Amino acid sequence: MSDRTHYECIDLRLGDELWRLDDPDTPRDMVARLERHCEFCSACRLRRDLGAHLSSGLKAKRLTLPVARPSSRARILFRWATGAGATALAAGLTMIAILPPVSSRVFLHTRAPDDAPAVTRPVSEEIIAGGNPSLAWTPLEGAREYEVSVRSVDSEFEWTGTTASADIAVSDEVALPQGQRYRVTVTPTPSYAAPSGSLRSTFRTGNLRAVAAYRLASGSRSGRFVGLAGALALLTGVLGMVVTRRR
Amino acid sequence: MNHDSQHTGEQKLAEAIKSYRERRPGADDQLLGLIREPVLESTRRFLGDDADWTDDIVQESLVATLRYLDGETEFSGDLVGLSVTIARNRCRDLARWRGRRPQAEVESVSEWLADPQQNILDKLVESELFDHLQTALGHLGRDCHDLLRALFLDEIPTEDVRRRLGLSTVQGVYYRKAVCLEQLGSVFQGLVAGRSRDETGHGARMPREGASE
Repeated sequence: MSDRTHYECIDLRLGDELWRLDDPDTPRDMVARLERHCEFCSACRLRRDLGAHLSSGLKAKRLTLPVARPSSRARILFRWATGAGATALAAGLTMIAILPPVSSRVFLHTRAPDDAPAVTRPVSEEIIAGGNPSLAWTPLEGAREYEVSVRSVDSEFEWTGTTASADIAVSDEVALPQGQRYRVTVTPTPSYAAPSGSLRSTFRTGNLRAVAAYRLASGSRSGRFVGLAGALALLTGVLGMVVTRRR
Repeated sequence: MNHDSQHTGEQKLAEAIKSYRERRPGADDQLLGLIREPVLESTRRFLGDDADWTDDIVQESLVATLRYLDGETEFSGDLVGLSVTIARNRCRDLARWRGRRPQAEVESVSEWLADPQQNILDKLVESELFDHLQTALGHLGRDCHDLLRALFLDEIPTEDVRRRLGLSTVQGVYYRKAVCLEQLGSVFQGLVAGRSRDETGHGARMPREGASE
C-alpha cells in the first residue's frame, strides 16, 4: 500500500546525502547539487520541507513534542533495583532461617569471655519450634562423654541423654511441648573438663509465628543486613517504576 | 544472451547520455526514445484504469529527467530508474490530488502536474498540515523527540548535542536528524493517505553511530 502513497527518492546516491545540507562544512558545489536534487525529488523535498515546518511550528508553539518521560536509564535503574532487591531479600531471609541466631549472651554483660565453652544450639534464650531439636555445645578437652539434660521450667517435662560427641538430638520418643521454657545442662565426664563442672543454657519453644518473630529480631546479623538492604532496594525499585509508569 | 542485450542497452544509454550532454543534434530524441518505454509502462501499471493522465505524466517526467540531467555536471546513476521514479512520484501526486478533490477542474490539474516543484505539502491547508505533523511527531521514538527538541526547540549547539549523544562527529548529529525527518515524512505520508498507525509501522529506533560515515 505504501508503494502507492509514499514518495521514492529519484536518485539515492544524492538522497542518502541529504543530511549534508545541515552541515556547514559541506562543499558549496555539493550543497548546490543537493538543493537541485530536491527540486526534482518529491521524497527529499518533503523531508527538507517538513524539517522547516517542524522548526517553525515548534518555535511558534503550534507543535509540541511529547513530554519527556524519565530517562530510560532511570527506568533501567529502578528495574535493576527491584530485581536485585528481591534477590537480596530472599537471600537474607534464607540466611536468617539457616544460620544460627545471635545469642542474647552477646548482649549480656557476663564475666565469661566470648570463646568460653557454652551450649551453642539452641543459643541462649532462642525460641525454637519444639519437637525433637538438636542440641550442640563447645567440645571440651578431656571429656569422654557428656550427659545432657533438658528440663522444662514450666512443667514436669524432663529428658536426659548421653553422647560421646558434642551434639545430640532429643529422642524421637519424646517431643518438647510448645510454649514452654527449658533449661539445658551438659555435664562432661570427667566433670572437671568443664570450667564450672557443666555447661548451662535456656531456650523456649513456640509456634511458627513466635519462631519467625524471634528469627527476624535475633537472626544472623549478616542475614538481617542483606535482607534489610534487599527490602529497601525492592521498595525503591517498585515505587520508582510506579512513578515512572504514571508519568 | 540476456546479459549481452542488457549490456548493449546500458552501453547505448551511456552513449545517448554522452551525446545529449555534448548537445549533439537529435541526441535528446535518441535519449528519450530509450527511456520513454519503461516510463510509459510504469505509469500505466500505476494508474491502471485512470489512463487519461498517462501521456501527460510520461511527458512531464521525461522533461523533468532531461532538466535534471542538464544540471548534473557528471551523471553516473541509473537514468531509467530516475525517470521511472519521477513518473511514479507524479502518479502518487495525481492519485492524492484526485482522492482529495474528486471534482477538480481538469485544467488546474494539468497546470499543477506541469510544475515539478509542487508536492503534497502545497495541497494541505496549514492547519491540516500541522495537525498531521503533530500526530506524526507522536509516532516517533524518544530518541528522535530528544534530538528534535534539542535542535529545534532548545536550540542547543550541534557540538553540545554531539557530546550529549556520545557521537564522535557532528555529522552523526546531522545524519540522525535526517533519519528522524525521514521517519516523520513516512508517517506523515501515511496519515495523509488516511492510513492507520499500525500500517505505517513506525517508532523505529535511531541508527547506530557510523551508519552514515
